[in-house]
This record gives sequence, structure tokens and C-alpha cells, in this order.
Amino acid sequence: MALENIIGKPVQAENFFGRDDEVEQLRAISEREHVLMLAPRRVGKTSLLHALKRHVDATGAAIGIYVSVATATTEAQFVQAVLNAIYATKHGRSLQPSLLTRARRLGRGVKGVKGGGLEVAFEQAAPAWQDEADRAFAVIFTSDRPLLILIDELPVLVLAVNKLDPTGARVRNFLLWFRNLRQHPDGAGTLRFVFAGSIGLDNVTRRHHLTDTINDLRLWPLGPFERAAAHDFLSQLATSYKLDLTPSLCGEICDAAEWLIPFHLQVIFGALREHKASPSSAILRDVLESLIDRQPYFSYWNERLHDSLGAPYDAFAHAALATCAHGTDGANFDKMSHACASIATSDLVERKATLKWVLDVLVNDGYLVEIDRRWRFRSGLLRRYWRKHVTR
Amino acid sequence: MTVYNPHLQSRQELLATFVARQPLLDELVDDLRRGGKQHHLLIGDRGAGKTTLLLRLAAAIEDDKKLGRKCVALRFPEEQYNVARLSDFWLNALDALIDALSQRGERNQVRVLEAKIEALEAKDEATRTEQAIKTLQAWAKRHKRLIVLLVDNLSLVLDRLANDHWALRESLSSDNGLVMIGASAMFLHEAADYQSPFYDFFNIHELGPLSEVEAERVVRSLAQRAGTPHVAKVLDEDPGRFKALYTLTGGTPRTLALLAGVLALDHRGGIEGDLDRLLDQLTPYYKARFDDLPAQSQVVVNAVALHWHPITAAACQTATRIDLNTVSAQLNRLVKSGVLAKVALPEPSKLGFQIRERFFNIWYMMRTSRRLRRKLVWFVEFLRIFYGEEALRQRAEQLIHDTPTEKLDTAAKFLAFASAVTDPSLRRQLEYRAVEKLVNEGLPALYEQLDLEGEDQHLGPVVDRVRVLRGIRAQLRAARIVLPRKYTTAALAELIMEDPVLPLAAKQVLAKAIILGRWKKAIKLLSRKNTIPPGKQLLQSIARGELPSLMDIQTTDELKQILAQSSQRFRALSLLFGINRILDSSRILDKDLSSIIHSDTSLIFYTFSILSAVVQHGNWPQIRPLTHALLERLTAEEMRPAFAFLQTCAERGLTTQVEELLQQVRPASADSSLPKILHVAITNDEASLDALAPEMRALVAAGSPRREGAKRVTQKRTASRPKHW
Repeated sequence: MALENIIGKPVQAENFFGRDDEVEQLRAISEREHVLMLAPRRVGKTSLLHALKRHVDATGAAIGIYVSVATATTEAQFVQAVLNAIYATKHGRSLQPSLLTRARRLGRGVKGVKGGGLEVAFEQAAPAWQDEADRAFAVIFTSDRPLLILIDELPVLVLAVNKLDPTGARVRNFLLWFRNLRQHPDGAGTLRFVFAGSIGLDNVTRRHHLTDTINDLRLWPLGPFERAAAHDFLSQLATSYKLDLTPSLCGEICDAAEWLIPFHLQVIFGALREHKASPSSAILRDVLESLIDRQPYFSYWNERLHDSLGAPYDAFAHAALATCAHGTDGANFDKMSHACASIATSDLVERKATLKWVLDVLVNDGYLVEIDRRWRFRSGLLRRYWRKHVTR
Repeated sequence: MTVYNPHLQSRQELLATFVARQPLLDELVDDLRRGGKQHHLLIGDRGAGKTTLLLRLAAAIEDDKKLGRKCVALRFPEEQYNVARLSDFWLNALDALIDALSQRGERNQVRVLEAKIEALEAKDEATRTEQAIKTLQAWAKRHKRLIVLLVDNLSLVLDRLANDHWALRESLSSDNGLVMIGASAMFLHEAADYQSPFYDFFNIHELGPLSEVEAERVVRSLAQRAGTPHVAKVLDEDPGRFKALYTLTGGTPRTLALLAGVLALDHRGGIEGDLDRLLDQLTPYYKARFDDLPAQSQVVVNAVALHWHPITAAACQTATRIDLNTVSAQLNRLVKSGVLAKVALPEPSKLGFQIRERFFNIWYMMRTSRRLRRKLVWFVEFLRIFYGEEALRQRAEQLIHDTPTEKLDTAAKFLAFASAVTDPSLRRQLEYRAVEKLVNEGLPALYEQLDLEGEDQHLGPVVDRVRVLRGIRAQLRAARIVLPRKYTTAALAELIMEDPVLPLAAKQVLAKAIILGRWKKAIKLLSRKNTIPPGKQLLQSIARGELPSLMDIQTTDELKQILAQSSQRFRALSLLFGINRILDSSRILDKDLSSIIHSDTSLIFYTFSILSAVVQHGNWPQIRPLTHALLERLTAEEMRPAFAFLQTCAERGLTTQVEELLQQVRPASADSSLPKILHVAITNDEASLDALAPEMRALVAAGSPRREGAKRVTQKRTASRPKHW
């Protein structure tokens, strides 16, 4: 099956490319530990979860269960989504309580939830979902085959629950319950979780002082393609679209993408494909120029700094980004701090503290990535845009 | 052909007129043929062709048998106002599927789906949403067809489903037989917001302005379709006209469609006439759009539109006098609704706002701005683009001599050309024409349309002169007085008006004196001998009020305009008046001064007087080279004014500089004693005179301050003009 030029949407099966080592590594780790996969957006976390599921299913290492909880806004919905995903598998059906039991419990649960609305009656409803969940998982612990549950978008739920109770007590209660579930001795041999999400769970828990609720998770970073894999990826795409892409041109695309995640390669390849002329270095330059001239898309990144940070932090951000935009390898902290000197010269300690905070925001908001104490643009296109249109 | 409602086009019309976005259509079709795994988002301003492209894509799917077997295109209303919850959106999709199946006559499937929709009515929101999606997915799976959701105004849908973005994304994230091809008039921030569910989720296609070549192809195609061969003729024979209109309209397909219609009409009015008609055609559409805005939004849009260039929130607050928070909220709301666009200003961390559709801005300015310059700021830019500098100058000259007929002629057109041309003389003539026309229209029109306290401030004196001079003419012509036979009141009026020296106030007094019967003195004054004739052109300009008389010169610019029209000899007199009235003599160009020196030796009195005036203003370095040149060619007969000038220099503390200059002077005449004589002017060293011949000594003594007193020298300087000019 030919590799497709897919931008943005998680890929499945035959369109998953070049991460076999990562899949195997993740499988091995997840046999022993619960894993939190870390990577900025568009690196391919969801696609990797799907691939891991296919892999464990195929090898029989475990029963892979993928569940996205993006639509869940309460703990009960989360539990329901996970249980439904487990019960939807052939093996999981045997772990499902009997229809009569479910009806009785469901009735009780519903009564509890509907009596006065979920938000208001949470104190009464909370024990109900926990009770229900504990009972269900107690059965699941008895599974004779290990279950690898791949949970996507958990931070979305965490933020939603936190919104319902801004004191943070409710979300802490939920995350502690979940941690206890993962630590339950009865589940040690049967239940493993791998987490991923568009928003980093580590960031969300750190911001809300909940880090202790996930400290049992093994952090596992997912990086970009190796250059050779990126070459192969581009070559296969070219074959699939009958595009004549020479090895040197593949190299030039990799240079332009800078950070070799599939998304960046797909975007440039897509634009090259749309260009009707036969690919060449000159055409690639045209394509890159037209991509960074997508004003509404990239100017939003610029505007957002002003809107979200306000003065004087936006000036710090501009100075830091301008410094990082100079080269593909970004800049170190001292260089950026020096660039910020004209904004705040009086107090070096305060300036450094502010810059550190601003850099955290820039990483969290997808402008930069930090690798080996250097901050570089996450997207080569954004960096080029920044140089051409912002710091000109 | 419908321009504003593409969905009302017939299928044949749609297929025949779809030219502009063919490559993108091909790409989307190709993507669907490959399985349609990619969601797409079309971004483009209003009129960019998004709706038409979605309709054309639906037709492409339906008309291609193979593709039609793989896909079904779901068309939604252009605005899905009924969407309040996520289930509404998916139920709309089910309705659209039913419509698509009905058109194919697949009644059984329609009945099944209708039953399912009916069953969902009583369910709660979560169940309805879940079941609606499942129904669509199940249909797609059962029939092995891809459901292509063609969602126009996706931003509206997303706005209404603000709490359901994750859920919507979830439904579109797996290979479940659903693919979305959305369109939006404004950029979806969700697509670039790193925290948003839809961050980098779509393959974004910006439907930018068409290139000139594409645009021409579109216009030709539309004209062919409309049966108007005249348009092709215009494109072939007058490509510049199309190019200019293309530039101004921004190359959006909708305005190009209108443009094709305009070019099909009579074009005797020229390019400005085309614009008139285009604006007329757009009026109903733009007016409706503006009227639809809430009152406070209209106030903000008004301020942004009249500013023309990007405006900051703070400047908008000043213009509207609405508090800053409200203005900011309004600006952001208008950006969100696509009326305004946000732009980053050169200064980091500053944002500006401008009207997204530039032609809408033009229409608005034409319609609402009272001030002509503001109203036509766009037109000025257009003129520069269309004509280029030389052609613009020629057109402006032609305009001054012609009598235009289009709506855009009048004062507005003259002012626009005046703003566009670079030649100051031409600009003044054009501005004068504008003022003249406005005065003809009456004072209320004049004061309303000119901003005499702002950007038209420099036209205030012109307005005053035109009004006063016209008043003089009218009053004198109406006066019933007995005059000597050789005079008439009309002739006297002309004499007063064209007097090149008298100030305007004096002219009024003279006219009044004549009307009151005291004409003898007035006639005597007006008939004084004209020893240095100003030139006919200058007299006419002064008589019309286009230029001030010498005693009314206020600015360097006015002086330069007078110099430009003066006869060669009159230039010296003009310069003298000008320098004495304009304190900053450095603004007088060297070439004006040197031209006097080389023009007419009989003007030596004026020349040294001018130099004295410059020295009075403390600008020795500017005149030093000229003084040097003058002294070297000085003759004995010219000694007196030179002597007076050098004494002025001495009074201004320039003794050292003049001494140094005199040492360098090498007289052209045989008499090498001249520098010695002049030296006396600055040193008062009588002893040095003893070495001169007696006649020379007498000459110097005649101009010597020791005999006539230092005061006399100063008087000579100011009174050095002859009694008669």
C-alpha cells in the first residue's frame, strides 16, 4: 500500500512509517512500567499508540486497547470510556459484569448523577463512580492476559475536571484514585497504561501542582526521525505520488524542515506535490517561500505573543525568538538573556527569571523546543517566517 | 449571472464559469480518489471563491462515475445558524446525506435514515450526538463510500461548538469514512493555536488573490459566457486599464466578475468612469453588509475605514471616543467575524487593524468620508500605480485644461491628482482647480469637504484669495460710479486683482475706495509705472488667487511658485520680497540666487539687497560663493550697492570673513584697486583711501557711512528697491 501525504490527522496501519524501534522499545518498557510519552504536538504520539496496539495484538504480547478520552469531561465519563474500550475487545467481553449487575449499578449510578446535576451533586456522585470503577477493575485484574491500555488525551480531561472545581481538590482526588489503580498489586501482572496527549500531562500536572499524582509514570520522550529515516520517508512518499525526488533533494527538504518530524516533512512534501513543476532545488525554494508567506497562519504566531503575554513579557519573547531564529541550532540561555538586556537591564536576576518563565511559555506553546540546553524553533518554516517577516 | 450567491447558479453555469481555482479543485479531487484521508481547510476573503469551489467539488464528485461510487458529497447551507450543539451539526450532516441520496433516487436508504433521525429526536444530547455519528459511519462502512463534508463557514460552526472541539476532532481523527473540506472567510485561529484541538489538523489552502494572468483568463471566460466580445477587445487593446482595475480590486474572483461586467459597458469615461460604475454595482452588497453590523461595531468600522492604513486599538479609541476595553473587544469581534484583519505593525508588539476587503474600504470612504483627501486616499495610490510618474504628469496637465464629466472629476479628482503628482507647480495648479470648483459649489461644500485645520491647511490662503478676489470683481462690476472715459469698473477690478505687489487687504481697501467714489488715488496707484514686468502668466495666477502677490508671500513654497512663473527680471524683485518675508533664508535655493546674478546686470541693486537680506538672516555661508563671484565682476558703477552690502556684513560681525574673502577676490576689470576700496567699507580705514585716485575716493565717500551716518546704510538696504517696480 502506498504511503499517503497526510497532514495533521493521526495515521493508521500502512501509513505509519519508520518508528519500528520506538514501538519495540515502548512495548518492552510498558511490560514493566506505566509510561507517559512526551513530545511536542505533531510528532506522532497518537499514531505511535495505534502502532503499539497493532504490534502487541499481532505478537500476542498483550491485548492492546486504545482509548481517547478527549470527549470525557467528568471522571465518570472517563471511567466509562476506558471500560467501554476494554469491553469492546473480544477478550474484554469476558471481563464485563453480567447484564443484570450492570443494570442495577447503572441505575444507581444514574440516579446519583442526575439528582441535582453532576457538578452540584459531586460529593454524593463521586463515591458512586469510584465504587463502580473499583468494582469493574477488580474484575479486570483477574484477566489471564495482560492488557495494555493506551490512553490518549488524558490532560484534556484533567483540565475539564479542574474547571468544574477550581480549588483543584476534585482533580487531585481523581488523579490519586487513578494512581492507586495503577499501583494496585492485583493489577501488577495484568494492567499497564501508556499515556499520550496533545497537551503534555507533565505540563498540566506541574502547573496545577499535581506532579505527585503521576510520579509513578516512566517518562519516555519521542523525538524526530533520524535523518536516514526521514530520507526513506520522503523517498517512499515520492514513489507513492510518482514524484521524482532525488536523494540530494530529499536532503534539502530535511535541511528545510530542520526538525525531522513526519508532520514537517509531510507539509513540505505536500506543497512540493501541489507545485505542478518537476521537483528541483529551485522549485523547493519557491515552495518554501510560498509556505512561509502563508501570512494568516504564521502571523497568528506573532500576534499571539502580544495577546497572550502582554508587555513586557512579549518583548522578552520577541528578543528570545529573534535570537533563536538566527540559526537552525537555536540559541543558549545566556545569548537570549543578553538579547533581553535592552528590555530590562536593571536587575539581572529578575531578567533571567523572567526569561526562564517566558521560555517555558514558548516551549509550552509550541514555538521552541529545548534540546541539550539550547532552544530552537520547533518548526523550520516558522523560524524562516520569523526571520523574514518578524525580525527583518 | 449571480455574483453574491454562487449556490443559486445553475449547474451548467457553475461548470462553465469555474475557471479561477481549477488547480486546487484538481488537487482535492485527486486526494479523494486516493481515499480522502486528509481534511482540508480553504481560507479566503469574501468573494475569493470558497463557496464556488465547494459547489464545484460536489459537482466533480457527482459527475465522475468512479469517484461518485467512492464518495458522497454532503452540501450544507452556507451558514449553519441552526447549530447550537454538536448533535445539531451531525444531524445536519445526516439531513445533507438524505438530500444527496434523494437526488440519486435512492429512496430506500432515505427512508431508513429518516427513521433513524426521527428516533434520535427524543434522546438526550450525548446519545443523539453519538448515534448520529455512528449512523453516518455505519452508512459509510456499509456502502463503502467516503462521506465528504463540505462545510462552508466552518468558523461559524466552530464558534457555536466552542465546548465541543475535542469531540468534533475525535470524530474526525480516525479512518471512519468521514472527511471534512471546510471553508472560512477568516483564518481559523484554532488551526494555528498550539493548545487547540484543531492545531495543524487541516491541510490549509489559502485562496489568495488571483494572479494577473489568472484574473485575465477569468474575465475573458466570463465575458465569453456573457456574450460580450467588447471585453476581449478592451483586454487586447487597452491592457493597462485592466491591469489598473485588477490591482485595485485585489484580484478576488467576485470583484473580477463585476469587473467583467463593467468592462462590457461603455468606457468613454476612462478608467475613473470604470471605477465609478464598479462602486455603483457594489453598493447594494456593501451597504447591506455594513447595515447588518451592530451600532457600536459600525462606529468602530467607520474609524478603521476612514483611517485607511492599519490603526492601533489606542488610535481607534481616540477616533471613536469609546473606552479602550470596549474598542479592543469590538476590534477583536470584528476580526473574528471577518470584517477586519489584524496586522503586525513594524514596531514589535504592536498590532494594527484594517478593513479586510480593501474594496469595501474604498467604497466606504467614497460613500461616507466628508473630507475629500481622506475619501480619495486610495484613488491617489491607484493613480500612481496606473499611470506611473510621467504619464501621471501628462494626465494631470490634460486634466487642468480639460473639462471632465465623470462623477469622480470635480474637486475630488483634482485633489487626488494633486496628491499623486510630484511636481509642486502642477500640484498647486491642481489644488487651485479643486478650490475653484469648491468655491463655485458654495462655502458650505468647501468647508465640509476640505479639512482646512488639518491636512488641507495650506489651502486656506488660496481659499481666502479666491473668495476675496471674486468678491472684489463682483462688487466693482456691480458698483454704479462715474469714472473717466478710459476706465471701467471691470477694468479697474482686473487691475486690482492682478497687482503683483499689493497685499490682499490693500486690494480690498482699494476696491472699497473706488466703490465709495475715491477712485482718483486708487487709479494713480494702480497705474504706476511697471519697470520690471512680472510676466503674463504670473499676473493671471495672481489675479485668479492661485498665487499670492509679493507682499502676501508666506512660505518658501509660495515664493518658489512665484519664481517659477516670474519673468527673468521679476525674479529678483520676488526674491527680495520673499527673503524679507520668509525668515529662514536657507530655504531659498542657491540656484535661485545665482540665476539672478547671471541674469541681468541692471538688477545689481536688487542682487545686493537680496544678499543683504540673507546676511540679515545670518546665512553668510550660503551667499559667500555668490558674493565672491559678484565682487570679481564688479564694475566701478556698481560700487555703491556693494559698499552698502559689505557694511551690512560688518554690522553683522562678519568683518573677518569679508576681509578673508576680499583677499581672494581677483577683479575681472582692469581696476585692481576695487578690493581696497571695498575694504574701507568694513574697516573705516580712511588712510588707505589716500592711495587711490581722487575720483575713486569721491565715489567711496559718497557711500561712506562716515559722511552719511551708519543709519543711512541700513536705510539704503531696505530702501534699495527703486520707487517704481
